[in-house]
Amino acid sequence: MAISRRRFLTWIGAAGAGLSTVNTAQASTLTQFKGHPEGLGVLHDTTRCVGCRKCEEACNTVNDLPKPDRAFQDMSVLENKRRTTTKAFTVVNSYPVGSQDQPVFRKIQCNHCLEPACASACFVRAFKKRADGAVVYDPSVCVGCRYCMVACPFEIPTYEYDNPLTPKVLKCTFCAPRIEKGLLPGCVESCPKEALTFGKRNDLITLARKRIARHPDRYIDHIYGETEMGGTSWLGLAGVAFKDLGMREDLGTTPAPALTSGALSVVPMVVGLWPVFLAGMYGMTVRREKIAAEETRSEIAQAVKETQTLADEKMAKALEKAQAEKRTALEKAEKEKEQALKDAMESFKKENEPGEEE
Amino acid sequence: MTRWIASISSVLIIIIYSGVVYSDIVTSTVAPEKRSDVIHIDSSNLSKKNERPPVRFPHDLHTDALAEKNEGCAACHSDMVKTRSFEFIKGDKVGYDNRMNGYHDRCIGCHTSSIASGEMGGPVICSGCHREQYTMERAVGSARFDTSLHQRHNDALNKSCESCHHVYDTLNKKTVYEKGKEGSCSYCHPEKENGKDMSLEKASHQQCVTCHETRKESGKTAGPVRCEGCHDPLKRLSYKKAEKIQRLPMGQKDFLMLQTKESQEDTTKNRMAFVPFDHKRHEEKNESCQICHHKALTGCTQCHTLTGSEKGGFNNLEKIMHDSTSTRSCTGCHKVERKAAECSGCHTFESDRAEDNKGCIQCHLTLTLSEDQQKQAQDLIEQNIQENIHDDFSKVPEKLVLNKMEKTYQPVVFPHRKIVQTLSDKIKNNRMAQYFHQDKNTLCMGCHHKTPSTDTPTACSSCHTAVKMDSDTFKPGLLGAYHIQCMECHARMGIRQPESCTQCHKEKN
Amino acid sequence: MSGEQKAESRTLLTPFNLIAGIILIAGLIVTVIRFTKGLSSVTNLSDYNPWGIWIGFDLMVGVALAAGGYVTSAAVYLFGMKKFHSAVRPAILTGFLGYFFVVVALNYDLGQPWRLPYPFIVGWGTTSLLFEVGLCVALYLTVLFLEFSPAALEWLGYSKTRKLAGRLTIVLTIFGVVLSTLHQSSLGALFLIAPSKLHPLWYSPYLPVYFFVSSIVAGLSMVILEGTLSHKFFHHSMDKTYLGEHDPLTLGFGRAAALVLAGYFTIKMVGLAAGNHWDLLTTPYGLWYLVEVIGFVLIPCLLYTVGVRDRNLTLIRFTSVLAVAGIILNRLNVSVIAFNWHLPFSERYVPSFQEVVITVFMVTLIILSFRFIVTRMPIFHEHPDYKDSH
Repeated sequence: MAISRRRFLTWIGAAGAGLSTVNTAQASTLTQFKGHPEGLGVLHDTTRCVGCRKCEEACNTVNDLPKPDRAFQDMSVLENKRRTTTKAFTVVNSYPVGSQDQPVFRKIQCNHCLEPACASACFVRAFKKRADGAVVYDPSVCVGCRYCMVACPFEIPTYEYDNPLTPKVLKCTFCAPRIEKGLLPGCVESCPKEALTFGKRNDLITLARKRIARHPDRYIDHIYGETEMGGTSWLGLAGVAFKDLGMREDLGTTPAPALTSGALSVVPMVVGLWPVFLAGMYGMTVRREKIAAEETRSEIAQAVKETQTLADEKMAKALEKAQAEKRTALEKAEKEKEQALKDAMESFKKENEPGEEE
Repeated sequence: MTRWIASISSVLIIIIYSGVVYSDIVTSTVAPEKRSDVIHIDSSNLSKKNERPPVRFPHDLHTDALAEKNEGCAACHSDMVKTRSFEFIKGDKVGYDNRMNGYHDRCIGCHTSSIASGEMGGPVICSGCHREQYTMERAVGSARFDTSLHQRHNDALNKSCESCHHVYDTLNKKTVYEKGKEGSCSYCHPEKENGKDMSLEKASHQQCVTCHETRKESGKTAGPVRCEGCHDPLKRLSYKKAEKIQRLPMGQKDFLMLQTKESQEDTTKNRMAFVPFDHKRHEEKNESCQICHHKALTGCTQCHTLTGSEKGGFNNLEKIMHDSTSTRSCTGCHKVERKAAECSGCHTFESDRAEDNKGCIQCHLTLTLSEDQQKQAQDLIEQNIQENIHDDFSKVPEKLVLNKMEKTYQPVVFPHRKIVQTLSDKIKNNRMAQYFHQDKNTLCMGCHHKTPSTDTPTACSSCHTAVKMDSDTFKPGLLGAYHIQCMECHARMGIRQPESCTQCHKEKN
Repeated sequence: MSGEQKAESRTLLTPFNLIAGIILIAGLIVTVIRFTKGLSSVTNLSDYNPWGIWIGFDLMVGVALAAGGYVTSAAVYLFGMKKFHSAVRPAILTGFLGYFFVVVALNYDLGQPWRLPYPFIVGWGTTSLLFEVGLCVALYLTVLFLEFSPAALEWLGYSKTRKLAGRLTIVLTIFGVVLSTLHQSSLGALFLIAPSKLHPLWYSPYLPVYFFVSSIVAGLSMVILEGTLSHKFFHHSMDKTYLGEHDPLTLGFGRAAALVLAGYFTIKMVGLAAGNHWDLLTTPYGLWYLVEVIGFVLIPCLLYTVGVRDRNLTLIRFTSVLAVAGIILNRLNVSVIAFNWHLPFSERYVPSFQEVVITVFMVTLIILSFRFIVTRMPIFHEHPDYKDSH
């Protein structure tokens, strides 16, 4: 199939048009999303937390979760490091720190990131980041692929593997229905030491900075979640290194969507350019074959022609020779004929001459 | 085919071998022992690349080993007798090779001869001393003098100040004793060698260790000659304390009226009201004069002027008096004092409630100076000390029932008077606390904060609402206010922490 | 066809059929349990390990090894290598069955598989690479089906439809390469979102490129391997053209594989340098990485080269097994072995017996379907009525 010039130009144009309609994939990090201006958050001050687990109890009540095997008053659960489960959207862990005689306690829950990895990873948009800061989950569309669990750097989402027909991904909801009504999230309301402070994220950062400035000996000069993974709505303060509290310090500040936007932005490139390249290859292949066929044909034709010419020449020569022969033969015959006649005449004459003899 | 198998196997073997060698499985993970006698022998400053790692030399080990053979410092520090110098290899000017050979000849030589004579020796091969990984680590603590140690030396040497104190006669290039000029060694001897003055380390060893060694040899009671004796923090804790510490007469006044002029000779007006200062009490309370008199035994304004001068490191008078991050300034030192368990129950909140304190006028009391400044200062201080300010607690409610927030638990019966009485008792024997708590209502203001001084402070619940108003993110709700105040105070004051919620309030059934 | 007759006359109780039968029964039992009791009853998946071998092997390895379809059709139709022509149909069939059963296996892993069309209907989640994978795999499965259809239509005798299907070949091939590039690379790109969970030696911004290039290697090697196995077991279904092209095919694809493996090794080294985690190479994971890259990338490359140079077809065939094993190793490393490497051993994932049963079940179904089709349809031979139409 030979590509006409028109068709080729059409394809190039289409590729170009395709490129221009691409939504600017945020591969460039010149812009950073600093959170919705009215976004809410919670500041968790681990220097205040005493590990009483009232927050776990409140979360369990507010979300109507089944009662756990060991009561919330049972502090022996703190001997093991726990993680969020389908029955516990938040847990408190105890971290012994060498320099102190008392362990440090920390509450674990979804951090409601500014640019959530789960929302970026979900291919049915089951997760949404709301303007009030909450990252909410819609179980009515979830297919159960669990890519969100792969994506979350804080290892928060849990899955109902026991449920054969309606399994859901579960995590802290930021008490979205409560905060809509102006109430506090269940855990925040129940904390007796106000280790959890609820408010606008920007205000909480100011508050955290103030606390650090007022008590430089009490806090590490860093607000966890201010920039980690592009920023989270749940922020943390601590008096010891965050990694001693199981809070990873090696996550970086790149938001999760920016990690994959580069790869995604290549998709329209491939769609636009590969057909051009491949069709071009195909075209060249076809053309090459055609030319090869042409060459073969012309060579054959040439050979045939040459043979023909040779044969014609031979024929002409033979013809000429034959004619010459014919002519000579004729002449010879003519001569012979004349001679024969002459002879005959002479012999006749001789026969018919009187007397000379006899 | 076999050559492929052979080459693949060899590649894999190389990988596994190098992995095992370089992996963490093989190397030791034991933390090195911290020793105060470890000296780093490192000549890398002589601008030649060290072929082997620097040596960590355990000095006390050698002192003990030589002591067993009845040998003293002179066994290695041969110059010591004449010049009192402890230099092992003379100076840095010898050059790298001479230094190396010097160490090798003397160290390995001694080790070899010890082993040869059947005794315990030390390493004789390179890697014995130059190790990649050491089991010991240098942790040399401070060998600072305090007033107790000074008193003991005073007693031992019969008050002969000239035994240790001297000044340097630059003309004759020697040290001489000058009465009235006794001060801390660190006034002239810097921490690190600066090419001009002898370093503190060198001077102290020359002065102290030689004296101790001499006395030991002549059978008198002496101080330590081993590094550990002066430099190990644990050993220092076991020092005998002097029974009675006599005040060192340096012509200092008991009481002072502190002024804020550019210098002591300045005749212009003072910028701030005067501060009465009980110098005698501060002397008694501090372990060493050096804590305040860190560069010289003079008044602060000799170096620290109002505007700042080079002599004072450009730290002006205001800063050195009030810098709360320094342990040397008035404010800073007092802040450290407030961290004590008796005080920190209330004072742990002071950064959050800074508006409550009196501010400058707590100390800057008057703008007039009388004739007898000492008496004026003493009187001002006495006036502001309220001893036994809280003998009468009848107006203080004995018990309060906190019932504004019942939900899961019963109301709390709060032993209000007992707490106030306890706080008052803790102040009783502390004159500094008594001065700053001149206003007796300050004891209330630890908890009843953000209100002026009053005999009848308001209840917590009048400002801290049961339902937290989120318009003020910085103010806790009543639940938080109770628990933060109570639990923090208990934690800081070392009062037994409750193991469960029900120890303070029983559950409702 | 003679092959057909032979299949029918043979007894069903061969050892292979017996084993396959047992696997089928076991697979069906586990299927029932999985869909009545939920994933926890048959898998070792946990909240820390949401993806196991059903994703790591069934999906990722499955898609990679089915790459022979686009590689072969591109080589023959787009790059004009007509001498490999007889390999196209088997490769397309392998690809089609591979992708088909990938989708079947996916339905086991999804929490609510009946909602599989939701990304295209309910929530168009275009920020997700999984969306891209799903869309491209769905479209490509269609493409493969259409590319396979001429063989089936010939067998069924629908000549007019068959002619129509045949005319789509070039467009489908181009479309197939585009889609394959996209989803092969995106399967690798899925892990870009979790740098804190994938070991630094395997995590690289070049993951999509690695997956794409190695899929070419997988495709080439699988065609050789599949050809070798088919030659042994389905010899009776093969015609003279196929048999004649078989050895040159092995040689030619071996040559291509050597070249691509060399390129793959090079870009792996570039990625290693760019990541600058050389110190990790002496850790246990580092050694494992070297085993993968040296033992299963560099060495197959060298062996292919030697095999091609010496025209040693046996060596090339052996190397194709090594190369395929390397692809399997790489996909498993990225998805389950080097993933969550930082977790304590008690939280690490080990596949359960039932997960292995389903995986083996899927592979068995592929083999059985393959056998069914090649012994009846014109895959290894040309249908006499359509001798010159493709």
